[in-house]
Amino acid sequence: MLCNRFSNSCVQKVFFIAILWLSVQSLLAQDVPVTLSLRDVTVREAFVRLEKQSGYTFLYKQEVLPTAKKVSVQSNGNSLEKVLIELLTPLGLTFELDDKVIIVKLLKQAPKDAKTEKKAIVTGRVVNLMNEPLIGATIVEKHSGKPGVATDLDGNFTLALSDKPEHVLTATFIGMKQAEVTVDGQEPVLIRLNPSNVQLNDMVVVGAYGTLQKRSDLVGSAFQVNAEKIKNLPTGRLDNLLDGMVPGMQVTFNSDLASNTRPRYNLRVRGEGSLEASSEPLWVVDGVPIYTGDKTNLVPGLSTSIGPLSYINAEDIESITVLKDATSTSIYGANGSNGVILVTTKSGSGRGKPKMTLSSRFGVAKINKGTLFKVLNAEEYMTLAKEAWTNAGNKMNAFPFQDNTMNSYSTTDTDWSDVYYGTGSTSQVNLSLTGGTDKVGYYLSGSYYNNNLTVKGNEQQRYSLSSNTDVRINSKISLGVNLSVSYNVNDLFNPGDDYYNILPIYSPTNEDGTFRLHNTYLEGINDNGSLNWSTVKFFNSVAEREENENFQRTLAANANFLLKYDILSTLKFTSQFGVNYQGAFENTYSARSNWSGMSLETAPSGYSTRSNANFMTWTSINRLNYNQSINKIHQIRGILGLEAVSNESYGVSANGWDFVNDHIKEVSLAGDDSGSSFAYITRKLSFFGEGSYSYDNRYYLTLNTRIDGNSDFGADVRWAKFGSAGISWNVHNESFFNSNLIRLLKLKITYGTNGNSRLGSVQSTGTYTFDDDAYMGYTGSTMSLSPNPKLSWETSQILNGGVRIKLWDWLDLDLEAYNKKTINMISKLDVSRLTGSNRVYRNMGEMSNQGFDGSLDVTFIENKRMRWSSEFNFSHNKNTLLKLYNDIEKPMGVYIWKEGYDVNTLYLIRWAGVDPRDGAPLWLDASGNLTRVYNIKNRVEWKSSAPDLTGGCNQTLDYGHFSLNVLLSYQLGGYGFSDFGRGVSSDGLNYMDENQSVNQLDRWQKPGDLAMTPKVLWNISTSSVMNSTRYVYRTTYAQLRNLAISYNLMFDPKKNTSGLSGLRLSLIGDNLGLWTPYDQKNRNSYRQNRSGYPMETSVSLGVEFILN
Amino acid sequence: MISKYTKNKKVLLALCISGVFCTSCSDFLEVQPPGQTTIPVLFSDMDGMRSAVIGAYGTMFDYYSSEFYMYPEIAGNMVSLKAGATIENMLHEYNFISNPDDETLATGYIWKKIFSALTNVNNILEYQPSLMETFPEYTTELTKIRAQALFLRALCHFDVCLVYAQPYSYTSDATHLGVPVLTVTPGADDNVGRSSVQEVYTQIVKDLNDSQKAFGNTQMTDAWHASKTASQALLCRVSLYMGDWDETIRMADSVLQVVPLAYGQNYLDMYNNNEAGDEAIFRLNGYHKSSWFYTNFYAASSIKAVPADTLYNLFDPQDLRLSLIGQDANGGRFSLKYRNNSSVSDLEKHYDPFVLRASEMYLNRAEAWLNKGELGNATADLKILIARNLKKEVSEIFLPESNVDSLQLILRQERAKELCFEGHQFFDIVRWKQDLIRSAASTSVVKFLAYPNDRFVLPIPQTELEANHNMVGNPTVNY
Repeated sequence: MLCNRFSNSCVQKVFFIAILWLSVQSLLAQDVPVTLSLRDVTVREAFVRLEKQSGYTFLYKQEVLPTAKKVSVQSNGNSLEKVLIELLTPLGLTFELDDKVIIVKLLKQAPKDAKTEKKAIVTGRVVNLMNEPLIGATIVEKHSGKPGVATDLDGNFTLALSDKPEHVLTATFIGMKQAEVTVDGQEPVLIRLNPSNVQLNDMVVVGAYGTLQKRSDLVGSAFQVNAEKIKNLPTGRLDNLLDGMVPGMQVTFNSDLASNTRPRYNLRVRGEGSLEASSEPLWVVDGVPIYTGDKTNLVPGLSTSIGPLSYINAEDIESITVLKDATSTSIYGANGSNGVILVTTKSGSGRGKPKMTLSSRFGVAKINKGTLFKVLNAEEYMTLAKEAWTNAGNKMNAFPFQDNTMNSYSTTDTDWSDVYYGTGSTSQVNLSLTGGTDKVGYYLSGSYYNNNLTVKGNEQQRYSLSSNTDVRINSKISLGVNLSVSYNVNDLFNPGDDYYNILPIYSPTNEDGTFRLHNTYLEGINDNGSLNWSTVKFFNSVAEREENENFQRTLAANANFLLKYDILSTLKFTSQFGVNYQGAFENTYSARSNWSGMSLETAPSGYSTRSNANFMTWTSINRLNYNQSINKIHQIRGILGLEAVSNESYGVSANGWDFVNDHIKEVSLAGDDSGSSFAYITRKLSFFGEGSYSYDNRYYLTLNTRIDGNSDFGADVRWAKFGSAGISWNVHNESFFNSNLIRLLKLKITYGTNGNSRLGSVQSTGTYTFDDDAYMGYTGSTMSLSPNPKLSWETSQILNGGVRIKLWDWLDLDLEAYNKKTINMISKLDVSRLTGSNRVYRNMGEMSNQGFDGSLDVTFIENKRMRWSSEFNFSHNKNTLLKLYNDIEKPMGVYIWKEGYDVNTLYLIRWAGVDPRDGAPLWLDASGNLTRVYNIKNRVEWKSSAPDLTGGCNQTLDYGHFSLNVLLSYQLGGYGFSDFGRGVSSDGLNYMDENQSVNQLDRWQKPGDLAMTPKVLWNISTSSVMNSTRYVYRTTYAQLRNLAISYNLMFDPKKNTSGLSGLRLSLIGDNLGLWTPYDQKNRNSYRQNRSGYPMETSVSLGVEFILN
Repeated sequence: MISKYTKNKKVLLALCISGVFCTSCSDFLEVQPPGQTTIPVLFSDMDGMRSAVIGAYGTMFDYYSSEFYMYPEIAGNMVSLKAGATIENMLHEYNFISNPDDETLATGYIWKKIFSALTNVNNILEYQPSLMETFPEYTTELTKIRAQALFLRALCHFDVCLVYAQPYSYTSDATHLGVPVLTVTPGADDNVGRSSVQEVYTQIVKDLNDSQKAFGNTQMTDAWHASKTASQALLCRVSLYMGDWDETIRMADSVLQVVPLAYGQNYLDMYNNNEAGDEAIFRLNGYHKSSWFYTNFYAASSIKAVPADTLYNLFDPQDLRLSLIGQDANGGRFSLKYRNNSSVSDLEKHYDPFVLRASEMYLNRAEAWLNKGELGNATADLKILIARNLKKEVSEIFLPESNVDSLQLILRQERAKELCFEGHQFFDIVRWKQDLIRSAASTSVVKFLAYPNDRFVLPIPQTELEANHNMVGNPTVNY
């Protein structure tokens, strides 16, 4: 029905929306040009004219304005700021730009008569730590009672000094710590301001659809990480970058198996939001949603998924904002339920001299041995293997691993981790240029990144170019074009579990240096006493690494075209067209010289695949932003918009085999070949609106709504509506509130809904697929998916409450609690077979995520020379499945979905150790009694893999030219089942084929032994290796993710003629350590089981030159 | 101050830019999934309809070439499972311990595969009328498609009812629990329940009569597709199951007017040499398809199901059909009905389950005559078959023409010998209201089950019961 309404009156609808469309996009004050010519008008009159031009509102006390005084303003495109400085300074006034408000204040003491006291003049320049000029900083001579001056576009100022014997200047700037300098001569002074922690916390936060808000004005929940925070982190990929930085967001490995040397990560904002739709947040780069793989970040059409977030150059990023609650995400509607991550890239900073930054970093990496899974060496292995062999009742003379012409088992001791791991290296160089004029702002960057992984045979290279240009055509229209392109070269080799799994008594090469392809062992003893040797294939992946090919070449591009039109000073129209494209070419070749390239009958063949997968998302957003201030107290903002998104992916793949030699490789020259292709299209159309109102910086209200349509859903349910409401109260701005202790107290509460439509390809009308041998060799079609017209969106209802409190100047706590309930949860469920389908997606079930998260910022020390600040963040989430389809519980591997339980609840048989009498494995049955029988019916709901608390901690210490940064991430509580540990603790069963965990050394040997590992029995299953709580680990850990020491040198450009204005040297360590409280020396614990690969520790040296 | 006029003009301009993207909102969201076709689109033209018909035959083959076809053999008393047979080889059905959770065994698969075929057939019937309107020039073809689909629908209903419901004769008016009757494909939330057996058979008979009407005077062209003769033959069997002797005879008469018996080498070639056979009425073609009952049961490499002594001992040493029973070095016997000796490549060899053939029609008619007490007619039909099987003239065959019991025994034994390994045995036992009696040497733990018996039907799969709250299970086996 809804759909019909849209289709019938589409055009009317657009008009309707436009008429209501009232909105403004905020521009930075520096960018607002003023063209005005006023002669001898009152100050108030000047203010009125300036308000009209700029969209800003003046706030002042009546008594401040010199009512009688006439002023003149002459400006032809000068910035608002400059005009204000020129206008206000002679009047003894100063101002603060506060979002869209200009607060006019009296300077501390009114000027007496400036001219008479003029004795000496001082000139100087005010810059920030990076030597960038600070425009509009206020310079005042202390105790002089004279008005101050503001710095100009180049940060320069000229100030008349008083006749006091000593002159102390103070420089202040929003967001910076006030600085004092003593002036004793005529030399120009350079004043460098340090960022103020407290003020920084009131940074401008990027919100949805072009909104910028001060943090203290936020109603919703948004956490922003700025460029400064990530500058020392590894730039290989974006998702991993945020680990431990954002309260409420967890970054974990997708798998604990050695399945991909470029592991996929699970990003979870406030818990698992869904069962079978995506639980991943939505990534939006410069306003345009980007493709980050399907619902588990898997990239279809390619055999190895390389995270698309590795295609973005982290150096180009200005800020990353994570939106968490309904008020900030509802406007993203159907895809906002798992949170939204907004990435804003650097843009031209407007006017100013061009600034060029050249930075380079080089590092080396080694695997962190402490996190490497420990397996037996040859001697230990042989001891255990022989023991298992005899335990199983076999005679030692028939032991398989006896020296022969092919294998010298007694002398071989290979540490396979050495074979597969080496020294990695990272190098990167980045050149960026930023600058602009009144009309044009630009940011250009070129970057090269190269990472040789510690896993040999793996290399990532990224060549990226970025260009962001804004052109102001006239006072009404401006145009922006953002382009970023990267070419990504990935050489791949995955040793899988070979690096710990291959027996240490095998060697990678034969005596003649060729790759080993066979092993010979004793299979048995013949009746006549002769030995029966067996020679078997050895699937040596070292040969595959050296002889095979596996690479991907990916072109990734983000292009963004923005047209901004200021209809009125309060109403701005923006039309944006964005494209996100990823085209990946994958090439694999298995050489004829090793088993991977041979047929089952061991005939050399060679296997080649050539795959091409293209992912294209285009987005068209048209919006009106409205911003109006009434009587300087009421602030009204609004957004109305229309968004159309099309996701398309296409791919082809060709395979060839039966090559004549290993040089050909191309499918077209293969003896035999086959091919396939795929394609998906999803389209979305959305209408959205937001209105917010604030009163006197005290009371805030935000309402928003979004109507979403999605082509994946049936016509009946294609459209859905989402909305939210939020209020906040800045208690500290109340007149009754007066506390020296509590500087800021803010309360907020929001509620709303959003959805989740990210299911993959789903067709509600039912589909038929084709089979070229359907009947009698003819092509026929059969139903592959039965119609499911009622399938619709998952909906999340999110309640969020928050309090922010700032004590003194140095302690800032931001705490939020939430309750997120997902209803109409989409799950693929058994359906009546009468429909012709087994399982279909259905909207069934409810789930809740409740928890809290927050951040605590503390500045421990802050003085002229030294500053030490800390940011802690923490989050706790409790997931509960509230309702499942017909209450049917569903075991999912080692987990279970059951009403009333966490979706991460383990479902396992309880391990009860080893029977000291005979070394047999013991379990508990369902009612808790000891049993020696493994029975799957004894599974119980066990612990949850969800941790109690996760988060991170960032320490910053600045001392003079030095700064130190330490980033830790941690997790407390939680239990993890290790597939990894299970595979290599086989108690004899798999001793023939797999090396074992060193924990196997603690096996039962004789009656009375209180052992951890059962009696080892060669090739005999006692079920002890089956899934049980034996392989569950507690997952508490702390990781030292990053430690950076920098030395910053700034040159005074007036003195330095080299053109170099700044230099920074950094020594950076990544992933320096991982600690868990359960470590045992020389044994494996969670620390070794955490992921399929050991952690990579790297140390790098960085240098950055700034020229302007 | 901006004048009202210019202000409006500017708003309008903004609108125009945004309007470009919204010329048709609903069209924008109509997307065809590439590589697949949505159901309404597939059935919008003749090509799609034709491919759906081919696909539907394919789904019929799928269920005929798997558990459904084996079940009446395994559950009967003429086939033994060898030691080493697993639950995938229908050990549960052999021992009558099938349970509702056997989702990936016979219990689940027979249900699933037949309904999968039925939905494909019903989709054809659902969209056929609109195509008739759109393409009147294809009326003849579309009518024939409808006729075939109606036959297939009847067959699906009949087959699924045999497995999951007690036989028609179980209650006097057949009002006991049957299976769902589906004439359109239900949606995920429709939850169709079970009809009575009588209602199921009413639908089957209606579909078969409609099918025959729709076929009109078209002649059977091959045995690989449904035909008027096939419809008549199925109705003959359905009538026999219903105890409608007159209809059984009438239908058998019609069929046997056009379909001869296969004799001698032609008879053997229809099993062993890729030939449909002279007497084939309807047979599903397995060209380029793997055959599950061949690979899992009768293959020389891993034979799991073999003729029981109870079967082998019935044969006269001269019987033509003994050529279809092989013997290995250890004296073990096995069926050769699914052994293709034709000189084509392995891919070209196919194993084609019989659905209907002329020999069965003689047996059906003989049984109907016998039940009507017309022993002479019954004897005549039996003689024709026996003569063919013993490679003799009809005049050389002598039967105890006046003894009903003897004749009935001969008929039942003849039926077992003729239709063994072709999906009839157990269904015949229960329809005759017989106890299941296996030889003492049977490898099954079940040697005897008395009729009536709750275990004579398979349980309704648990997943169906859970997903469809109108579904009820079968007594004992489900609870």
